[in-house]
Amino acid sequence: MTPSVPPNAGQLALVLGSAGFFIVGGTFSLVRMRRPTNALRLTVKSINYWGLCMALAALIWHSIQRGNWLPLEDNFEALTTLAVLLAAFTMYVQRARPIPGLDWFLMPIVVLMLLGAAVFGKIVPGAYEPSGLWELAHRLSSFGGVAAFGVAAGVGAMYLIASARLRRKSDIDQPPMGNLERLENLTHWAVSFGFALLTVGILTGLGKIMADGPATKLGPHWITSPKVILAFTVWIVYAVALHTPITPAVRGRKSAMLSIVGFVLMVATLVSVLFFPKGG
Amino acid sequence: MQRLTMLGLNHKTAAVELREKLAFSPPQRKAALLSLRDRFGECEAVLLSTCNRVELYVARQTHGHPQRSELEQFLADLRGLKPEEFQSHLYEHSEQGVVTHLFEVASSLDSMVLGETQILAQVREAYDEATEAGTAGPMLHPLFQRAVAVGKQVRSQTNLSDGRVSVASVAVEYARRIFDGFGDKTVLSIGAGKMADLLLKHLVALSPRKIIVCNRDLEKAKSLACEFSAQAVGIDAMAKSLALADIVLTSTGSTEPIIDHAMFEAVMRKRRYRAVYVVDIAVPRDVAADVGKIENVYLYNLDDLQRAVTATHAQRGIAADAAGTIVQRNVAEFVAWHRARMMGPLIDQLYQRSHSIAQEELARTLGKLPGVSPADKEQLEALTRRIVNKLLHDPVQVIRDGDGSHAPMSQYLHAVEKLFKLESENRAPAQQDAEKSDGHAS
Repeated sequence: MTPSVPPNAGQLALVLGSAGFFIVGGTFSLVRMRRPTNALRLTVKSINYWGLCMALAALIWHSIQRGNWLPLEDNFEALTTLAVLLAAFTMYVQRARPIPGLDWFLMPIVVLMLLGAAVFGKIVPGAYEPSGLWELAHRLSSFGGVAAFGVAAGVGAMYLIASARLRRKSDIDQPPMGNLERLENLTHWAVSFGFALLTVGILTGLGKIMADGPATKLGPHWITSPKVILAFTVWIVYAVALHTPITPAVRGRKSAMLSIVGFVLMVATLVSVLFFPKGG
Repeated sequence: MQRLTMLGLNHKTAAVELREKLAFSPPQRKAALLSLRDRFGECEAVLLSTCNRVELYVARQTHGHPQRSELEQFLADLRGLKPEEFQSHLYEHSEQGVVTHLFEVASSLDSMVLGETQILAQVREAYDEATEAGTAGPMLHPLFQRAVAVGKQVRSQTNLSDGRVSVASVAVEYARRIFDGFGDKTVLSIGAGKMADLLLKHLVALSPRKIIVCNRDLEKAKSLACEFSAQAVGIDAMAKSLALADIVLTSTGSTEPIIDHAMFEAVMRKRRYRAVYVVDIAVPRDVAADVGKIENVYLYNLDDLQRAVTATHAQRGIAADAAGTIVQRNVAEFVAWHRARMMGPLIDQLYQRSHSIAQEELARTLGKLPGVSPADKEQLEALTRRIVNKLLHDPVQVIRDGDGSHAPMSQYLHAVEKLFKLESENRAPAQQDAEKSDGHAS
């Protein structure tokens, strides 16, 4: 088992600095919704890049300190990696197919994850089980799924607000939030991607449980453990959300709501895995 | 003496649900004017009925008919309503207030879309209809001619119409907020009139995959479809076309909704609830309001679009101020001109009658005073003239300077008519002369 290595002051400062950059970037992004100037666009972009670089620097430093380059070995790394994935994805979307205000919706999740990494990484380092490729595949796919579902939830929330504004017919003089179709497509794409990763995560997790047999950390009644129940619930929720293009009953707002509900359940699963005894 | 009044409602005082109940089509407007004339005799009237307003301009004898309650009843009878249904939404102007209001309307300062140009044509159309129906007379002829001139002046001398956000451009903006791309979208226009043409011109810029024009009159549909390389279909293919359409424009002249909740629910089922954007710019509306409650249906009527346009008004505040100044200057000029036209003959008549009485009395007195020298006679005549002039000076001055703060000018003139027993028919030729010289007013 890799010994638990809590983040040092420098790594915490980097993570907190990264969160600070994302907060400032989000604030400028909000201002940019009202005053869409090129200068503000470049400012937001450069601030977010700085935030991303600082979080990556913290991860690299922490890996060097641990003497192990396999990621996702403790709570600090897990949450920081998730935040980096989400921030990188947001920045990619804003570069490829910009959606006004998207960063303002997703960056708060990034900031919360970074703050969580700093706080829980220090207080509850939670070194994970001995690593192997099987375990790594399980974690990477599960965490990747959470990041994708985070995107889906943020974009879903944007969809709900944009749709409500259009229904109230009151948004013409308000800053645009991206059109409904693009938001819906992005939600669907994020859900599809997250669903695939989650499925891989669940299968690898099940494979590990089977391989461990009665010695599994979840105990003999693993099938009723909160982690397994929540993981399957999330999988079912997203399976439904994934079928929105061919399921009229859950199109549009219902699909957006499902993606938010799914993300809340996913976070609950993650919390049960990371912080509750016998959760993971 | 005639009194000028106006009774009406508009987008500021009544929602589209009420306005559509009171709206008049062109043939209905003419019939209404004739009916008003039949009911109230010699009054003058112009009926302005557009998507945003229904206003009845009336010139009547000072204590004549129709009074406000009679006009309310008249409108109620014509539209099959009870006066209570719309009374609280009505506004009324009289005398100078009518002039100011009409000039603002013609200048689009009272429009929901500030700077829109359509209202000027609508004012002119309303006036032409009244002229054809014979209900525009010496009061309303110059008023409406001047209103049209003021509207033109505002358009040519201010930037009010420049860079305005039109209903069509707002409709396109909403489409952009719903759809990401239009290369795979179908636009359906139900109706093939001017508004459909205007909206399609804007939507074509989005390069939709397909445009369908659906109309009761297939030839009209083909004519419009030809302009946009679109497909023309008859009204019987409407339901089928609706299922294909992502953007639906409706602008028919139907008096009842042609698309109801049940019909659209079926359409949405066929579409598997893919989002659809419905723009209903017809008044009365073509699409029942509850259609907008269906999931993934984004329904906008004319009021919704115009409210959005209103949000852009602040940007043209300076131009609006300039337009307001033009309107106020014209109101002052018109009122002064109108006052002079109305009171000139009356004052002449007042002087003539007073001098005539004075001369009669002087002659009678001279007859009783033999031996009055010509010089004395001249002195007495001058004395009589001076007395009459001095007696009339103050009241005439009050009439001339009257600012309407105590009573409308027409009431002063009416009082003078009654007090001095002046025959109104004697002034008729003068009024007719004034009417002929309306060119001065406009």
